[in-house]
Amino acid sequence: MKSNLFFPVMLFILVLTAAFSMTLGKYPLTLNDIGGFFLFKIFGAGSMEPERYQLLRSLLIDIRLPRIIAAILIGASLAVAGTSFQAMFVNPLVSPSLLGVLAGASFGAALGMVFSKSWVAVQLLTFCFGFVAVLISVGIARMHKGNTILLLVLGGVISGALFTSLLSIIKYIADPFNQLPAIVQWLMGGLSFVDRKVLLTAGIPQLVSIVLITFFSGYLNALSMGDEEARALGIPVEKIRMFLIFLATLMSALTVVLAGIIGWVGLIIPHAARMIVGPDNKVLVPASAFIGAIYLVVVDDVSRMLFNVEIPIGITTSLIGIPFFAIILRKAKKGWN
Amino acid sequence: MFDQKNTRIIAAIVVFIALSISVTTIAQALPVTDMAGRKVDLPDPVRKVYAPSPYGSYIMYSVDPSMLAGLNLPIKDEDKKYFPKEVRNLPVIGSIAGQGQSANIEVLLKAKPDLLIMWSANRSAINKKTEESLKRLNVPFVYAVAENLSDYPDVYLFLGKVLKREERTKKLSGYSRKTLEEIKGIVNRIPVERRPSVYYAEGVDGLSTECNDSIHVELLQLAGDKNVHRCHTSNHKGFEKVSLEQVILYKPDVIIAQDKVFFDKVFKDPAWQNVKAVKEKRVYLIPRHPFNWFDRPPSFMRILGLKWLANILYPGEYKIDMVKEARDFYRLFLGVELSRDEMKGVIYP
Repeated sequence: MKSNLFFPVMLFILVLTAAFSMTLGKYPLTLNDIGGFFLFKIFGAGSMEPERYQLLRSLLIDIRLPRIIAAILIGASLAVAGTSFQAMFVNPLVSPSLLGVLAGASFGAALGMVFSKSWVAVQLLTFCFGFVAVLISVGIARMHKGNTILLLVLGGVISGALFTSLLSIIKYIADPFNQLPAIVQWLMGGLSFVDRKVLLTAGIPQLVSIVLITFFSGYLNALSMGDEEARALGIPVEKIRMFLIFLATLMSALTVVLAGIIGWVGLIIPHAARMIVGPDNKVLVPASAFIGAIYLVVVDDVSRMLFNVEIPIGITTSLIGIPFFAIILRKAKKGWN
Repeated sequence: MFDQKNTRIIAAIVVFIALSISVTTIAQALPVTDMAGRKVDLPDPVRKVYAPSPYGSYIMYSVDPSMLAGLNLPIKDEDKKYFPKEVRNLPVIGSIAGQGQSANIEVLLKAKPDLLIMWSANRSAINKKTEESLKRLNVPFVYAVAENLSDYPDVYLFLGKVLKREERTKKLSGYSRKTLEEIKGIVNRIPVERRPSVYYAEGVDGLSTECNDSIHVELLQLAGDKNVHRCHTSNHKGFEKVSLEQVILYKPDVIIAQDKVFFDKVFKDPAWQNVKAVKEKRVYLIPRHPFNWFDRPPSFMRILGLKWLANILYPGEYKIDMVKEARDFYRLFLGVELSRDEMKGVIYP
């Protein structure tokens, strides 16, 4: 899509989706309530009883808004991480979990839930083990000579398998009454875990990473032609790749810190974006960010509105993602070349 | 084919086997009907027992922990002070089928239990698979069945009979029965509309809960049945997710919290300030040492938990000194003497 209008339109849709999501919730609020609240809060217009104001503030600013912002950040992060991985590894079938970051982070979270008392420690462990897993993949790839991309993928398989089995050990020794259900819940993902403080801490590096990857998307185009060609263009392939892997790991690990494991977004959103804007990463990366953000906000709306109980968002994204992926599989190959 | 030496060895073995068979026959006696209606020949005496699931072990902690051949789950360091020394030093054998780490059948054989205590919350859910794998042990087993908390007095009497600890279990059974009747009497005197409504918060976000008919909230049912989340339990695991908006709408008078992470943040988190119970500062963290007073795992500790809950919900009608009650309970059921301060540390963590 060459039109200059594309990104403003995407931004508009995102804002519209977010605004619409603000009106959704189990607590019945009318548009008048919401409009009145914001008029009162921002312009001091109209009047409102303190009690009512407090309730609306809590519902809109403390409950719904952080959740929507988290959905935007997580959706965009996973989609951008997925896009850059797909370009870097010259393969449309990879997702951000390729180098083991999600497996490592899951293990870290479970480890913390079983052995630590403080939730901050759980979050730190989640984050750190996401990185440890990727470091192991990269380390394995560095140990051997040969096709770097292939070795990285194999390193990722090994590291992912390692942390998956370590996670099983933790599940096995966890207290089956309290800890195990908590771990299982966490692995299914859910935006109800998000709280504002963590959102601020995790959100900024995520935003910075998205911007940086967008900035470096020209290099992604070169990398997606293969290492030889990229080197021929005078690009320091290894350095750029490691830097991009670092950013993608940072973003992905933070999504787990925020909301547990949310699968499939990083795999299908880049495809959807590629179908719309084509394979040029300069456009594709920001487009993925927008589409991922919109997608996750909508899916989270479904998760919290469909039943009286919430469906873990990891389940919803998989259930939507799998058939979508099956359908576009044929097109994916075509779109790539 | 056999030389003399071999023949002698074989003869010795035959004699030995014959002797050991006759010894076991002498030791076997006492037919008993267990709580699942099965007729079992009990060995006599029963020295060591093993429970294939943690539930069975929990009740043994209160009946006579020195009879346990091993534990299903390791005792956490912080909880060791709530157990007598003989329990702390027991080896961890694991469990059969389900719940946590599985036992190695040979380790179990080595531990030589005389009897297995099978625990079943529900007669229909008797686990055939577990029975099959336990048959290899060739150790008799009895079922203790507790579908509800109100079955505990009978379970205690039954175990007392089987394990020859009748005097002790009579006390435990009596205490349980008295507590159940006492709370029932108090709750019945209070009209339904005056009973406070309760939200049961589970998970670090406090947004998992249980339907009112769930086995996980039996104490709420016994203490007035005013769980705000009224629905039919869809699965055994529970942990039903709800949204905070739903909780605000429920307007619970009291919140019973299962998770310390949640409890520590609930009064600070602005999002929770519009929940009625938080506004009125009526959020309570469930005591959890050495195991939970409310659920997860369901154990005899719930008998004390029922007193605790009734005291929170009806402080006017049910005036008790919670610290004293708890100390008495720990002394009677767990055989440990805690100071008032230690007990306070358990009740108000």
